[in-house]
Amino acid sequence: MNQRSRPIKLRFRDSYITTPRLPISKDWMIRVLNSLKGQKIALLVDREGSTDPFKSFIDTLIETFQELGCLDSGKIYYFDNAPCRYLFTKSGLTKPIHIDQALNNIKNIQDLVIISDAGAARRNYYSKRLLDTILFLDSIREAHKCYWLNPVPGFQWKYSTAEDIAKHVDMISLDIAGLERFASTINVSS
Amino acid sequence: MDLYIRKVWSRPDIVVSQIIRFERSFGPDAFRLACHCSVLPAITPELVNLININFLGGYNINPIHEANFLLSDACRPLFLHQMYMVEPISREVLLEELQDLPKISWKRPFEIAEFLWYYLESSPHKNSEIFPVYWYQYKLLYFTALAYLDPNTAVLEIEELLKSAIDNSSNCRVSEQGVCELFALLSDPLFATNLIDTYHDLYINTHLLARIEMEETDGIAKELKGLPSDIKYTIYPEILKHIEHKL
Repeated sequence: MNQRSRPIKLRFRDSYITTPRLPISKDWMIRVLNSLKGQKIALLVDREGSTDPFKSFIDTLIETFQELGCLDSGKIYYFDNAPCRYLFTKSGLTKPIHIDQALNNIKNIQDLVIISDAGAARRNYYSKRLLDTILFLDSIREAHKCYWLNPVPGFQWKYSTAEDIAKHVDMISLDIAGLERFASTINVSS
Repeated sequence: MDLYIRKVWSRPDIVVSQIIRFERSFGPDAFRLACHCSVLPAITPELVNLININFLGGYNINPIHEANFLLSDACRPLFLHQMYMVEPISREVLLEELQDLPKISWKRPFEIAEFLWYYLESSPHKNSEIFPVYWYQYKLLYFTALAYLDPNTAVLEIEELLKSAIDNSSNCRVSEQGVCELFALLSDPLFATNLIDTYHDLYINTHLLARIEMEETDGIAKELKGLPSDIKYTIYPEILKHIEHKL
């Protein structure tokens, strides 16, 4: 902002808030998830365009897991829409790895957490996405206990692919109550 | 005479039905947020969140509506994400609706412009993560704030930008079409300027430039003759040489 020679005087307020606020603050996340400290999980994160508005929120959650020691290096993969033939090791959906190789890398980790809107963000229903997701969930059911964290609240899952995916996996809204339920559920099953 | 660049914008009837569908799907809170965000022609998830916090805190709007707006037909995501263009006609409709919202005064767009100015001025390190990539969007936001807060300076700087774009100056990182679009998006708040001759110059020259860019220069003479006689304007030499034979 260097073009002007004189600054503009604020007329309406003395200042404005320029620090964004997450739906759940990082402090709250740490407080709620503290019981998971040291407990190892693997993460699969949806980086398709519809999760883009939630990027800061999801990234903060990932950081929280890392700070709690839940997430070792190489145990987080990214996907586009549904985990299919390839996952990605970089969050920009680069450095692909075959899904079998990725699953082999996390075979010793019991708890697998998926972070995705499952189609709820755009309120779309795609049968292919549903089918691909169900096939994936069925393929990992024996080796892993699977949890699905959805940044879209439950009241917006209706008539989207998320509503039907939720019948095949424990899908939890990423709000405080949901995160508390996730923490207590994952503790009980471990 | 409508600015020619508007021809590539969406049809208003389609946009209105999209906006109605948005309000019906997500409710009045989401609609209120969308109206506020529409002051900005380019927007990020962070800016939507900050507009919610600064102007709609009392309504306790569910944060999901920030995503609902960004993922709606009113916004178009750009390639590297985290930056969205607000569809121009959606923006116009929502801006009109903003003035009609209950308990919202005519000052609200100016307040949001002032917030935008404060945000751009006060967070240079944050801005540097996104704006070197999205230089045009940065200029759009800068000029949006300036158009509302100081339209006189805005018209002068946009005139400078346009001439620089036409001259193909190596320092100018905004294309001719970019400046045409920028002016069209901000023509309403800019009309408050005292420098009305400069405004008319910008209006006519960006209009003609858009026609030249789209290779649709027939009928220019008739169009210019049809302008009210009290409108004074000068056609820039670089543009004149493209259309002289049509006048």
